[in-house]
Amino acid sequence: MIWNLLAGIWVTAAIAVPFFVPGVQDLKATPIAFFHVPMAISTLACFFIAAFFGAKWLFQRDERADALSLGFGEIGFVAGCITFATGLLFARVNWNGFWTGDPQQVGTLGALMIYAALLTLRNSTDDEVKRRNFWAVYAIFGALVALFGMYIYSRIVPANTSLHPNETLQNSSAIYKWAFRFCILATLFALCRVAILRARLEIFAVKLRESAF
Amino acid sequence: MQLQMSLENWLTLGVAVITWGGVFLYLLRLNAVQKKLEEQMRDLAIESKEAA
Repeated sequence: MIWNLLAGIWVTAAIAVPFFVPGVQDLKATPIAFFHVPMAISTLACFFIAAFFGAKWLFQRDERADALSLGFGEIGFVAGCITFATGLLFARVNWNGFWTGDPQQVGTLGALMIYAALLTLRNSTDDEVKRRNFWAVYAIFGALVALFGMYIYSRIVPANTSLHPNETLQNSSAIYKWAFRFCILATLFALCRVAILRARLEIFAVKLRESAF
Repeated sequence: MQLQMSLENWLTLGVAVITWGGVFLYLLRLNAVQKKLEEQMRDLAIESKEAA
C-alpha cells in the first residue's frame, strides 16, 4: 500500500510542478511537455522492460519473467494509447489541428497498432509454454518497432517535417530540465507499479488455471 | 517561480488529472483484485490439504 501511496503523491506533485516552470517559446502551453513527453518516454521504457523480461524467459524459463514481460507490455500499450490520445488533444492546442500528419503521430499510431496485434497474438494458442515463447519474441520485436515508430522515424524524415519541437529540452533552463526529469521518473514509477501488480495477477491467474485442471 | 494559468494550461491540467486519476483508480483496483486472489489461493491450498 505504501508504494501505491508514494506513486499517488509523486504523480500529484508531477502534475503540479509544470505549472510553476517558466514557459518555453515552442509551446503554447508549456505543461503539456511535462505530461505528454514523460508518458511517451515511459511507454518506450515499458516496451523495453517487456523485451528484457521476454529475453529472460527465453534464456532462464522463469515464469515470473514472462508475467513481468506481459505486465510491462500491456501497461506500455495503455500508456502509448494515452500518449497518442492526449497528443491529439495537445496538437489541437499547439498547432490548431488534432491530426497534422506529423511523423511522430504516424509513427506512434503504427507502432501501437502493431503492438496491439502482438498482444492479441499471444493468446492464439492454449499451450502455456508456447504462448510464453511466442510472447517473448513478440515483446522483443515490438520494442524495436516502437523504437522506430516513436523515436527514429520522426528524426530521419526531412528537416522541419515534424512539428514536434525536439530541441526544447536542450535549449531550456536548469529548472525546466530538473522538472522534466522529475516528471519522467514519476510517470515511470507509477507505470512500473501498475505493471508489477498486473504481473502478480498473471501469476495468480496461471496458478488458478493449473489448479482448476 | 509563478503560477501560469492560461486557458491552454487549464486544459492540460484537466487532461492530466483525468488521465492520472484513471490510472490511479486502475492501480487500486489491481491491488484489490490481487488481495482477493491471494485469499482464494490460500483457501484452495487449505481445501486441498484437508482433502489429502
